[in-house]
This record gives sequence, C-alpha cells and structure tokens, in this order.
Amino acid sequence: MVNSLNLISNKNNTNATVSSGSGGIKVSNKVKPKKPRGRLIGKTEWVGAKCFARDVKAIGKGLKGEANDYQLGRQNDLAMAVGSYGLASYLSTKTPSTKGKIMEFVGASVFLGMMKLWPKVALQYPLEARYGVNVRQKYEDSYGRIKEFYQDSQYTPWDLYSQKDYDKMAKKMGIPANAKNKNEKVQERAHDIALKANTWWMLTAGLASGIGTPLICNQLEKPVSSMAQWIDLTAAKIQLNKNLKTVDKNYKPTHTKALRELNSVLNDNNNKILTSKVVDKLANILVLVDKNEKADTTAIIAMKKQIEKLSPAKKFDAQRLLDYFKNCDDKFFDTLNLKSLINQYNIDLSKIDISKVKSSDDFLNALKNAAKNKDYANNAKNIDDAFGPILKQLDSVANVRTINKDFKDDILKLFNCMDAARTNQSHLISFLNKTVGDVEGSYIANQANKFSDSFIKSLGIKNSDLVKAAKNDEAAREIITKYLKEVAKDDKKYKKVITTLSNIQNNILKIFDETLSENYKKQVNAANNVFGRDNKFEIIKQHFIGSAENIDGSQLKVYNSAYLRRIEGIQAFFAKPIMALDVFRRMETGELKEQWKKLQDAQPNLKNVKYEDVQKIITEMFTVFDKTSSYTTKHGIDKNVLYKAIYKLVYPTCENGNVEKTLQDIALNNNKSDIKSYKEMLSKDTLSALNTKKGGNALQILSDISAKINFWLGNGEDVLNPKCLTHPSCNYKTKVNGNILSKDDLASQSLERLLSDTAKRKRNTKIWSGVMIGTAIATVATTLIGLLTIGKVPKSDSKKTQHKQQSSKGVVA
Amino acid sequence: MGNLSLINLNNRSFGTVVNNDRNKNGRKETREQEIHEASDCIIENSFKNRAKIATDRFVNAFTIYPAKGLKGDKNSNFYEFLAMGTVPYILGSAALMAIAPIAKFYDKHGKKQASKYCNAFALGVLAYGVLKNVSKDFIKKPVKWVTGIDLDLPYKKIVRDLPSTSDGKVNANIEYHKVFESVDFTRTDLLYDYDKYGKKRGSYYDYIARKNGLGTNLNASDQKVKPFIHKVAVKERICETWSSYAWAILGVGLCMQKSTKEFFGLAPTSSGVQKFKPRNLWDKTKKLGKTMLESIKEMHSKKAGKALIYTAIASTILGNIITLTNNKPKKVKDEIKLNNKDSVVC
Repeated sequence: MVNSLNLISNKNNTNATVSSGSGGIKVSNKVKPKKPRGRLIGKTEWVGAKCFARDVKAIGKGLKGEANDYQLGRQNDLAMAVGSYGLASYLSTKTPSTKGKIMEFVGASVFLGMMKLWPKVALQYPLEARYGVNVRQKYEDSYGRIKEFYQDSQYTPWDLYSQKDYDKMAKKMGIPANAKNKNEKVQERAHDIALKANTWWMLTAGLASGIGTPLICNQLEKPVSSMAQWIDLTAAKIQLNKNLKTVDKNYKPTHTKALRELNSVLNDNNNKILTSKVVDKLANILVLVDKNEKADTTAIIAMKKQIEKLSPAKKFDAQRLLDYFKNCDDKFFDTLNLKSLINQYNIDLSKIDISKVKSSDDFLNALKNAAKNKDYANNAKNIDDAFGPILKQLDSVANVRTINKDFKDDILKLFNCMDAARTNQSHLISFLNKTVGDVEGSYIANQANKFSDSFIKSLGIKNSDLVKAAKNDEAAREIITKYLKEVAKDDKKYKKVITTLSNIQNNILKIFDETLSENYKKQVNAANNVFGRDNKFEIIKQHFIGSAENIDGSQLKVYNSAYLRRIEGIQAFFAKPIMALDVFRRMETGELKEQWKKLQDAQPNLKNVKYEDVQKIITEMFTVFDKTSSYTTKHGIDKNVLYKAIYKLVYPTCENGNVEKTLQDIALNNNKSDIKSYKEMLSKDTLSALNTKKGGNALQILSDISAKINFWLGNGEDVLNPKCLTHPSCNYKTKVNGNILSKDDLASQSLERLLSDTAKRKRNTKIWSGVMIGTAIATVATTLIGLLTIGKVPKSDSKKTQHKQQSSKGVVA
Repeated sequence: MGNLSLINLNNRSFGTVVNNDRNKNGRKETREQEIHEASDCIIENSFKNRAKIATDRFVNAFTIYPAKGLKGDKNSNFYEFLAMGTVPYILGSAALMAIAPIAKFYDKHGKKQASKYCNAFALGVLAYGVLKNVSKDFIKKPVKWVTGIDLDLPYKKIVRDLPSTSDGKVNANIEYHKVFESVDFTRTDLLYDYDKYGKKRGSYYDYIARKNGLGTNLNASDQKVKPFIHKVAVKERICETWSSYAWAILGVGLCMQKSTKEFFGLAPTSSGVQKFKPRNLWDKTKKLGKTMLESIKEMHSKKAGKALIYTAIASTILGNIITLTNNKPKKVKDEIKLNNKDSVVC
C-alpha cells in the first residue's frame, strides 16, 4: 500500500524519439515509456474555472457514451450546484420581498461554499500548520484530471512530492532529518493523518454545513437587507418614472383574457339585445379588477351608467313583439293568460305585416285588423282596452337597444382606456408597495423596524426586561415608562437618544422629499387621465379623476391619499417617541410643572386639578387608552377644559388667527405649520438636540404632526374624541376613526405596543441563534478533539513493523 | 490439513449472509468451496438482497468504517470512504430537524409552532432523499426492460486486508459493489459465469446480443456486447445524475407549497384554523396524499412551478431516449468488392 518510490521526477520530460536516418530506421535512443506528467496543484492556484469548463464538456461526451469514471463522478457535484441554484430560483419566485429573493441565492451559495470551506478551515489549515501535511492537497495527473491526493489510500501519487517537500514535512512531524527511510516514514504518517482527517471530515461535515449555513446566512441578512432596500428604492423610482400608457390608434391591450371575454359577450349571436343583464356582464368585465380582489362598487355603478350612456337608442322591434305574442302560452298579465286572450279575440297573428308596424300603436291597430272577433261578447272589452295596458307593460320587449357596430366600437375603445388606466395603476401600486406599502420588505416597513430597534437600544433596555416585555402589554407598559423616565433624567443619554431618532427620521425625509411627492402626484394624474379629451367617457372619467372642482371619491384622490397617509403615518410613528421623551424631559426638569401652572392660572375651572394627577394622565396618554374622561367625571371637572389644557401641553400648536382654517390646511392640504408656537412648549434640551443642522426638518415634522393631531382628534360630539382644541370657537367634525392607538392613524402605535412587538421580534431571533450557536460550538469542539487525536503516533506502531517482516511468508496473492 | 482455509472472513465485519453464499457453520469445506468463497460473485438483484446490502452499508458507515478511519487502520480504503458519504447527509438533516425539540426548552410558548416548522422541514428533507433515489429507477428500469442490462446488478467482493496475522491467514471483508458501477473497469469478467440466462458460459452476453439485435448465434458475442454495455452504462449514469437532481428539487418545491404548509398547520386555511386533525396514521397518510396532489396542482398553476415539473419529467424521458438509442456499433464496411475482371487468383 505504501509505495516507497525514490523517483522524484515531476517535471515534464520529453520522450525519447525514434529517428529515421537515410538508409533505414535507426534507433538513436532506446524507447522508454513516457514519464508521468502529474503535478501538485499549488495552494494559491485556482482550478475551479478550468474544472467547470471541463465538466460541462464532459456532459456532451457522456451523452454520446464516451465519458470515463472521473468525468462521470464529477457530474454529481456539477448537478448538485445547478440543482441548488435551480431550487433557489424557484423558491425566489414564491418569496414576495426582494430581500427574501436575494437570500435564497445567498443561502444556496453559502451552503455550497460551506461544503468546500469546512474541511479547509477545520482540518486542512490546522493540520498543515502542525504537521506540514496538506490533507486537502490536489494534484493533476498525466491526463490532466484534477484529483484529491489522499482520497484513495491505495493510489497515492507519492512521487509528486519533491525531496524538499518530504524534508519539510519530516521536520514538522518530528522525524529526525537523518532517519533511515525518512521518506517512507513521512509517507506513512502523512497517510495516517490524512485518513483520520478524512474520517473526521465525514463525521462533522453534516453538522457543520447544516448548522453553519443558517448561522452565516443570519449574519448576512443585514447587508443583504440594505442591498435589497437599495434595489427596491431604485426599482420603485424607475417604476414611477416609467412611461405611462396612453390610448392611441395602435393600442395593444395587456388584459388579453378580459378582452376575449368582452368580445365573446359582444359578438354573442344569441344575444344581440342590450338587456340589463348584458350591461351587468359588460360592466363586470370592463372594471378590469384582478380576480382575487373585489371590485369597488362605486366603480361598477359608474361603469354601468357609462355603458348605458353609450348604448344605442331604443328602437321599436316589431318582429320581437310579434314573436313574443306568438310564444306566449305561459305569459300572464293580471291573471289573464295572453294566449287565451288572443284566442278569445280570434286574432290571426300571421296576418300582421311587420313592415307596416312602426310603433306600439301601429301594432295595436294591426292586432285590431287581424282580429276576427272584434268584440268579445262576454267581456265587451274592446281590443284597445284589452291589449293597450299589456303593450305598455311589454314596452321593454318591444323597444330594445340592439348591439350595433358603433356600440361595439365604443365599448372596445372604453376597454382600451380602462386597460391603460389599470396598467398604469399597477405601476403605481408597485411603487407604493415598494416604498410605503404596509407589506414586509417595503422601505417604510424596514425603516420602522430599524427605528424601533434603535429606540429600544438607545433606551438601554436590558435583556431580562425585554423578555418580560414580550410576555404581555402591562409588563411592557411598566418597563417603557421606567426607561423613559430614566433617559429623561440623564442629560447626555437624552441628547443622544433624541439625536439618533431624529437622524433616522431625517433619512426618511431625504428619500420621501418634495420632488418625489410632486413626481408621484404628476404620475397619478397621467395614469388616470387616459379617457381622452372628448366627453364620450365622461362618467367613468369622472370616477377616475374627478371633476375640476372636486376630486373626492375619485381614483386620483385614492392614490394621492394612499401615499400621503402612509407618509403621515410613518412620520407620526417616529414622532411619538420623540414627543413622549420630550414630555418626560419636561416633567423631569420641572418645565412641565411651570407650564401647567400658567394654564391653571389662566383657567379657573382647573383650580382643583392637582399637578400629580395631570402628570399621571399625561404619562398614560402615551401607553394606554386615554383615561381623562373617567378622571374628570370622578372629580367633577369640566372635561373639555382639562383636555384643552393637556393637549396644549402635549400637542401644542398655533393658536393665532383662524385656527380652524389653519389646521384644516395643514391636515388636508399638506401646508406647513408654524413651528414657533411648537418650539415654545418644547423642552430646551430637546430643542438643542433637534436644532443641529440635520435636526431642522424633524422639528417641522413634529410641529406638523402636532397640528394634525389637533385637527383629527379635534372638536366633535364623540366621547372618544373630545373637544381638545384650544380655540373656543372651533367647531368641526372629527375624523371617523380617530382612535389614538390605531397604528395606521396619525397618533400611531402606543409605545407599549412598540416595545412588546420589538421585544418579541428580537427574542425569537435570540432563541434560534442561541440554539444554532450552541450546536455549532458542539461541532467545533468535536472537531477540535479530532484534531488533537490526529497525528498522535500510537504505541503499537513499533510492534506492527516487526509483524510485517514476519508475516510475509504466508500471504496469499 | 484441515486448516488450509484460505481466508478468514473477518468477524468484525457486519457482512450479512446473502443468498448464494455458503454457510461455513464449522463444517469442513472442500477446496472448491473455499475457492468459491474467496472469489467475487454476482448476487441476485432481489428486493431482499438490496435491502440487506443497503443495511450493511448504512450500518457500517456509522460504525466500523469510521472506527477504522479514526484509528488510522491501513486497510481503510476508498469504498469505506465513499460509504461514509451518507453520514453527513443523515447527521446534517437530523441536526436541523432536531432543533425544534431543543428550542422547546427555551420557549415553551413557541415550541408548538417550532415543531410544526420542523415537521415541515423534515418532510422536505425526506422528499429530497426519496425522490433523488427513486428517480434513478425511472431510467434504470426501462433500460433493463428494453436492453436486458440490469445496471444495478450487485456483486459481492472479497477484499483482503494487508497481511497482519502470523499464521499466514489473511483477513478479508465483504464489500458490496455493483457490476456496472465503474465504466472504465466494469466487472465484465463476472458476467461470463452469470447463469441467469443459460448454463453455457457467456450466456449472458448471448442473451444481451440477441435482445438488442446485435446478432444471434455469434461466436464471440461478448466482443459485440461489451462496447454496447459500455455505451449504455455511461449514458445512463449521466442521465440519472442530472434527472435525479431535477426530481429532488421538485420534491422540495412540492413541500414548500401552501397546501403542504396548511397540512402542518403553518398557514391559515380558507376555512380558518385547521380543525380537522387526523387521528391515526392511515388518516394522516390519506390526508398527506391528498395534500401532495393539491400541491402538485398548486405548483402547476404558476409558470415557475410548471417549468420545474416539466423539467423533471422531460429529464427522465430524455434520459430514457438518449440511453436507449444510438448504442449499436456503426456498421463497418467489411465487404471486399471483387471485380472479377481485375483480380487474378494465382
């Protein structure tokens, strides 16, 4: 098994050649067998690309039936790599977020990489450092095939090592330089070490790859996340600036399936009449709503009206009426059977000449003429009285709208317009989802998570407290209040927290700045305004873009407000912790007490209210349902007055001029509020933290949010939305769902909810990381034990060598 | 005299007794028997034998072979190394599946959910393994039916250790290989004595030649059949490698569908939280089968899923076509055209 060749020829030698002289064949040199041309692969040499190219070529050979074992064996690795990436591609189609898609490929790559990396890191480097043996040595044989040196212990190409290599290895292994058969000893030890290393590799590879891959992927999530964010934002901006479709002569619709359905309805030979049923069918197709969504009823109503408007005029169809009369066995009018009525008057329907009948009256006359029995003896009703009312009831049968070519053309044009509108809208929806969407992976969702994490981190909440907070809301409430108070007490910490939070806020503002808003509005307008300049499709056009005076209820408004509301919501989400911290700071420094005193002096109704109670109410405002009204009831204080006072402290806003109009402009038309009055109430520490160059914008946002809260939770009869507006004469309706705790709303998530959600999220990650890391440590420990045992010379070795010499007698070949 | 046994079947080896093997049982054997026992021989490819061979390899891979490797036994060879290749697969999959029970200790609340995830994961791993191996038969079986070549034909190999005992006896181990596992060194020598298709020596080659239209009543059928077998074996190997991965991915993909997630209670079903909990194993199996069918339908409804399904099926069909066609040697024009006018016979 162990070849002790002393040949050290690893250079490319040329063969001896046979030369032919003038007379005959003259053998100038003896013909020797070819020298082997194998070589070791160097440490820094990278043969991956060459191997890959060869493997791909080998596929062709294999399919022809000409590959060898080596090539076929390598196919497995290639197929596994291709398979892994194929699976990653498939799974990425099922993952909605960009980050998820990228992580699929990252996962596959990490897994394949771990399989190559683990033996290197765990076995090759340590063993090489200790014993000089590269257990993962590769070599290239005479045929150019790249193989592992120690893979097959019965076929180890020892002749590839030079004497220098052997000397180096001997030195590291502790074999004396002048030992007898040094090379042979080195080979034996190297073989021993490599065999053990390979075995340990097999035993630990499963655990290492299986556990190491998730651990590494977990660490890679953060950079991948930021990369995905960048991709999403760029894609979103491109999406927004995409050329929107306009309906021109050569318009090609994208909703081809719907178009087929539409055509089949229009060209249905059985149904050439435009009945209300047909109108319904057409309307349902034309609204072009995805099958998983429900169409907005206003859209369908508008569409029906539009179709009606486009429908051809009613025409009197005498043939239809006549057919009806001919097949009226089961038709009853006021319990009178029409057929029997016809028979009673003995009307011969075949005598009616359709070409002469142009109206109901004509038909009546025709009936009269065709009647053989003009007076019905028993009833003495004449034909006019008998059939007149019936004909009136049959007006819809007689007067029909036939689907004509003009109508079809109009409907098809309407379809094109709707197709353009919906396609454009899908781009906008895609943009919204990527940026402000309430979906995982949207930019705003990620920033919100980042913000929550920063908030919790900068508050310095301990792990044990996080665990408690994850359990229930009450625990979270206590903990957040405790930490807010602590931060408010510490000057440095307070400043740091405010600065960190406002920085994140400003980053968002940089992305969602004015130009983006304007661009978005412009695109929304262009997207929906595809119905042409003429007024043909006026009704549906109005549904999409409203009228010049009022865009309420239109799609334009829907899309505009979707974007703006989400931006508003996220701003409020960021503002609340800052506002809360500011209030706590003011409590700590005594500013709040002074401010309260001023209000109390100005408002005699508040004389009996204690500052401690007010403090308690304000604290709870940020974490629980508002309990102000129960307090006022208990203590007999005017609820409205107290609210106004408290809101002045917590959500200050401008009180000069036409307050109602100012607030309305800010809330509904996105005007900017006047930050002066807001600044007056803020703590000076907050102001100094926000007033850095970057902080300027954050202050404006806080002031705007404060004003909007005043508007949305302002005057109204609803007890949940008490009168809190400071100006006495203000009197306007509140927003319907102005619940202070609803997340999407302006006042956004309560802080306790923020804490408990974040805590839960962090905790789950911690558990899994802990388990994984524990298992990884176990694997590494096992490997270390392995490494320590590898290379140790067993005591029985010397005995074995003696045996070898003795037992050479009775060997059976 | 009686102790001239040539080999000591190593009783450390877990070599199972397989049919066609003679039981020693302490009786004296004739020289013929000993020689027979000392040679490699083909084993019938029955289900029982396959199961025994698989068990032998599997158990050895976890016990004897690692032990030999860790001790640095100089008789550890490549076969043992390859057999140990299953160890990482099994340990790795088991490790990932075992995370849930471990996590239980940390999070009593989440353990139910965690175990659901791990069950789903386990199914995925199982699907991968099962489909990867079963799909190879999709090509091997048609090849067997059409050409008569059973590419899975196993044989028992006696591997002699390096001499280490003083009484001259040689320890030997039993390894189970396949006749056609190597394409460069196919054990065609064993096929001469393979008597499934006739008692005559080389009847196997006659049979293959007859079945594949290479000729009947040939003098040396093995000359024509050996290259044929070589071609078929190479093509089949490469086709089975690629198609097995296509099917393995399909299996994993099926386990990632919504229907499968609903089966494990990981996704809300359309009828709310899954209320029907199958009680016994049979019900569970039925439900699983139904879930698999739904998963296939769900997968098929999307473009990517369709691509996966059709790739797997196409790989098998293509594999079969490639392996079964174009194997006959090209006809050599060995006719000598004699033009009577020109030739002169001396």
